[in-house]
Amino acid sequence: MNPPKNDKPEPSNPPSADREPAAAPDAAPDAKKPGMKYVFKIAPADPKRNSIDFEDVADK
Amino acid sequence: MKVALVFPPQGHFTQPYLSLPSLAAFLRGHGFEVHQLDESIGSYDHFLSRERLERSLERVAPEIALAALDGREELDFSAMERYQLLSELALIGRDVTLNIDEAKRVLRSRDEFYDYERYLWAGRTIEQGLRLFSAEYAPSRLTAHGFVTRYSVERSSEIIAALSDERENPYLEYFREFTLPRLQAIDPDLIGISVTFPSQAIPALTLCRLIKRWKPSVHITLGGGLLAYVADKLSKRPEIWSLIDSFVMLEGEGPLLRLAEGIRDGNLDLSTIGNLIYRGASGEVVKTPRGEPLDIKLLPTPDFDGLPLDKYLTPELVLPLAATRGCYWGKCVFCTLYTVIGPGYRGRTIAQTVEDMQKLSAKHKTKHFYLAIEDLPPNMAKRLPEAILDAGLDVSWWADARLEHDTFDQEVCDMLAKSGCKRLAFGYESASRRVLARMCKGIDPDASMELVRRVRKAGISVTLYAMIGFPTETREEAEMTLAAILENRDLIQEVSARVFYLDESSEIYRRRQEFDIVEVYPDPQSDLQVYYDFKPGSGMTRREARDVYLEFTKKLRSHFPVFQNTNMLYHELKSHYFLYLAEHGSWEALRDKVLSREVSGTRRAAVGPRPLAVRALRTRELAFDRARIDQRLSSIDSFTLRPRYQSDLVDDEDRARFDRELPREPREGSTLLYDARTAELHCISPAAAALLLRCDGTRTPEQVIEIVPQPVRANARDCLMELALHGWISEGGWIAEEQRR
Ligand code: SF4
Repeated sequence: MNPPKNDKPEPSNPPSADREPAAAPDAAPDAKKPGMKYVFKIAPADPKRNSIDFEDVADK
Repeated sequence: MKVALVFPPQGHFTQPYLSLPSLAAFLRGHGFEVHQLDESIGSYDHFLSRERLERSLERVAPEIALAALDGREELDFSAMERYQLLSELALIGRDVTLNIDEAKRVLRSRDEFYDYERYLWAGRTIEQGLRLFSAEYAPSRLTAHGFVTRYSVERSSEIIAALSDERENPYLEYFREFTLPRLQAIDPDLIGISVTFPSQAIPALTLCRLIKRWKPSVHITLGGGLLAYVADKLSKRPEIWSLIDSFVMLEGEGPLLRLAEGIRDGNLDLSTIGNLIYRGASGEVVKTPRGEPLDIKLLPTPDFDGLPLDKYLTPELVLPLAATRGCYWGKCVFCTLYTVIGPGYRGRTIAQTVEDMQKLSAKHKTKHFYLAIEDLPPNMAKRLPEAILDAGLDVSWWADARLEHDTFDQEVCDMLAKSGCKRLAFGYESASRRVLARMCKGIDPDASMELVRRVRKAGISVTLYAMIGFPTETREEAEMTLAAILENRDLIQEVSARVFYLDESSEIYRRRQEFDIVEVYPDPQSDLQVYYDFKPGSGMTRREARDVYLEFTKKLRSHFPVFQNTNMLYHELKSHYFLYLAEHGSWEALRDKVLSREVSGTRRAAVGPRPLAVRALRTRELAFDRARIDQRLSSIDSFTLRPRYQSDLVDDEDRARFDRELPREPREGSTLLYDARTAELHCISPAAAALLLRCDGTRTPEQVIEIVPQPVRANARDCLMELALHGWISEGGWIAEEQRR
């Protein structure tokens, strides 16, 4: 990954960390998009879980 | 005359290492002024600070970089890797930055560290902080366990190139800002740098380069475990001699003292000091004869004074202590450990060890010790406990040990436990008698399990080391090992498995024909290579061994509580598991009071009549399916056959091939979700996200799910339930009602 290091442009969107799901708009437009698959999936998103190798731990 | 001793990054951040305190005590005993600098913990502490991470966030600007990727039609392998990282940082970068100092405080606080939920939050936040920091220097990666860069530590030319890479070597800036000013304030005449792990190689030499630019006259000597393997090779590289003045091989006390005396007295003659490599007047590399191994009974207690003991990320210090050097067995053909600090096996007396514990415990107000030895010798297993108890010492400790069937009878095990032994780690390696015999392990697998049973009965936590792919080992034999471990899983708490690597300083390498190693493939460009790829003439191929190993680790994950779920005690923060054991008294108590509670979930809110997504959630919609990207990347990861600590980065050639050949990831929306209370990240599908968005406190559950067509409402209801089980929806009632139905 090679992000620009010295440029300090303003983020184009407000940081998403500030968004509150509780204050979301009334409708959930995405759910009505044609072709949307009604797959209800919840999965941990943690790169470490996937890549940790047992040896890493043993070595130190 | 001043001496500075430096432990360079990167070592683990949970406890000090023993090399500096041993050398410092010895030199101080001879009247020298010694300063100890642990720049590993120093740099972790700095990198993981709000001020520093704010800078990382600013420099990485994940929002912008992610937006660019989100605009693409598909992602190739490299883009997927960036996507994985940037999507996380765009969502949580600010939270992590704001919380990082608090996370360190929690890990250092007695009350909060043992509050498991607080602990998990802190541990995750630290890992996320490391990912944010690493992103600034990508592809370099700093984790709790390692530091890797695109530069191979097996190639001296690459190491040298890394030393001046401002963009990818984070330690240049750190050393300039912190270490160098400290050294300048001390103004030492001799600097000893201890290099134990491959991850320290680049940082150590980076520091040498900066020091030499500041003060060319200072004598820099490099010592430590890693050099036993690579110093000879490294010394052939002329550039190295502009960075350092000498290498100390094997144990450092003697040579370092002679260096210090010579510098002090103005009559330094390197040729008279044993165990040294240096460059002579006409540019030739000189290796002095091996010195006599030290009688370690004559050594003082390690001296930790001057180390930043409040910075390690534990609430109580776990101090390392070496009661022996070398291995009393010293026969296993794959092992090189016993040669690193050798030659020869030596021990301190039991009384000295107890006295060391006593002194250090009183001085540093801690009761926790890690016996940093290859294995607990039988006489010590039998006599140390009684001596600890007689001295009235209240300590807890752990160590590695050999499966000595006759030594560890029930009485000995019980006494060990009584004296505070909380954990023993044994080299079990294999369940096959034939393989064990070929390894020269000198143990019987059945008797070993009986021994393990006795250790467990005494209440001590058991760790087993296992090895897959020893030359000539068949798949059936490897599977026997897996089966034996799984069968006895109630007796075993941790398993540390590894694939066999052919180490050039091992006995098996020297006698490789006997082990049917038909060909060895050294990489001609890797002048510092110590592990070789090879072709076995019988038994499993290397690829097969790797596959069995992966299968093995998968099973471990599903069968051993220590490896399960979000448990970080073992995975990330090694000595934390030991501290938790000590705090709870036994494995059973830890499992029942902490681990299984976490697994079943304690903080689970239910859905109310009008469910409301909790305020602690942060979400971000993504154009690609992050869950699938995680999955795809992790499966690619597993194909590497080399020891990971050498580099867990994909090399350029592979990367180009993956980018070319792997199917591209198409656009497929997902939502990344961060729970600020637990610091957990999840990826949820658009449909699940839509439901969560509708939980705004105004709708009933029925109204929430009515957005989806009738045929999938039952699934939607289940999903709502799952969201609630994760604690993401507040207000009680609905779940209970649902479960009653
Ligand atoms: S594997 Fe353990 S017991 Fe065997 S020689 Fe090495 S340190 Fe000693």
